[in-house]
Amino acid sequence: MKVIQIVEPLKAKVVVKGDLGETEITGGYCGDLLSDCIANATEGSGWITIQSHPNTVAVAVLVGMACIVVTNSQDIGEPTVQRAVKEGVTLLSTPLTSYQAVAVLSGLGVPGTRKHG
Amino acid sequence: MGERTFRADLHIHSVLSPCAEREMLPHCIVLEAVEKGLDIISVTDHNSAENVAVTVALGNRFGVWVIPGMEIETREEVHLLCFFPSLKELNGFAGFISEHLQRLSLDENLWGQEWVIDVEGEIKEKKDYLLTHTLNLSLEDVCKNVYSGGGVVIPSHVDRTAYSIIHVLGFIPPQLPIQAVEVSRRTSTQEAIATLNLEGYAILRFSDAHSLTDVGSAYSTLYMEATRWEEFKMALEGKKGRRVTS
Repeated sequence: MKVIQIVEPLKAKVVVKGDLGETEITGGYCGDLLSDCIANATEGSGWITIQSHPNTVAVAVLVGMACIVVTNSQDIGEPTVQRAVKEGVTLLSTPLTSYQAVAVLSGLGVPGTRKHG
Repeated sequence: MGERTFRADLHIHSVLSPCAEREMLPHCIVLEAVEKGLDIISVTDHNSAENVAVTVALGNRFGVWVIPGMEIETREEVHLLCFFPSLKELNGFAGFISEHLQRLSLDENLWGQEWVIDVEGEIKEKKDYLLTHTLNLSLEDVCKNVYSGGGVVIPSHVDRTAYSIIHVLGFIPPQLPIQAVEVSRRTSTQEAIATLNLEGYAILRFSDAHSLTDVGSAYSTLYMEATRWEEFKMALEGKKGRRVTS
């Protein structure tokens, strides 16, 4: 599934496009502690988080996430947006809670994934 | 020249923090510091500074340098120790913080009480809203405000799993003007530098005391000429021979 296919089901706003028409989303990870996401999230995953700090983008690049989905319509500051533009990371904003967003992705058949099984 | 080492415990909670023991009265904290041989302390309550002026006054009386400070919880759930050269700058900052603290009524059974203490040692006020929660301010907003007020930011207990800048944000954003971090007593300095990527940062250790026994149970040693703000800043920056020695 391409990232673009999760936008509508998540009622999401595309904040930064990145390559959402081409990027495959192969799994999902949900977390707000970036150290945990670095340690456990997998490449190609859609990342559900409420954390909109610019470091979020750096972690998405480091892990090779398919996209970042910021939940609860949390404010996304300009430095985060600029960083996502620079790194070509797809950044979505949804009014759904993290729980609801995970349920939507799960309903679409996106599996939960983590490193080391 | 006249340099010597000074013992500093700059992370102490008073009775204004609901999580602190009710024995953490400014008078008791200062006397405890004297007894433990501390030269420099700071009362760093959560998102509030209302017990600092009284502690500074007591510190002057008993020969302990009290650096005006607070512990801030940013929007990202990161705890930061914020220090200022004088009460004037601290109070300006505290006003700014107060504007960004959502007023949640304090459930004393759940959280405890928050007391403001006067110079006589009496309870001047009991706060009716919770101080220990997240501000509507980003890490960057807080840093910008502290530094523009002439202060310094030292991220709290960066090695812990709760409220630590490294745990929450993965790493210290390199564009921030942070030069020093607090590491808890659970992690050795060598371990902290190696596992948390802290090369180049001054490593400080404070007690994060919530009870009198804890005051001074961890402290840092600063090598500098006198208990003055400029000397303290130079020690954090490692300038002109001033430094954090342990």
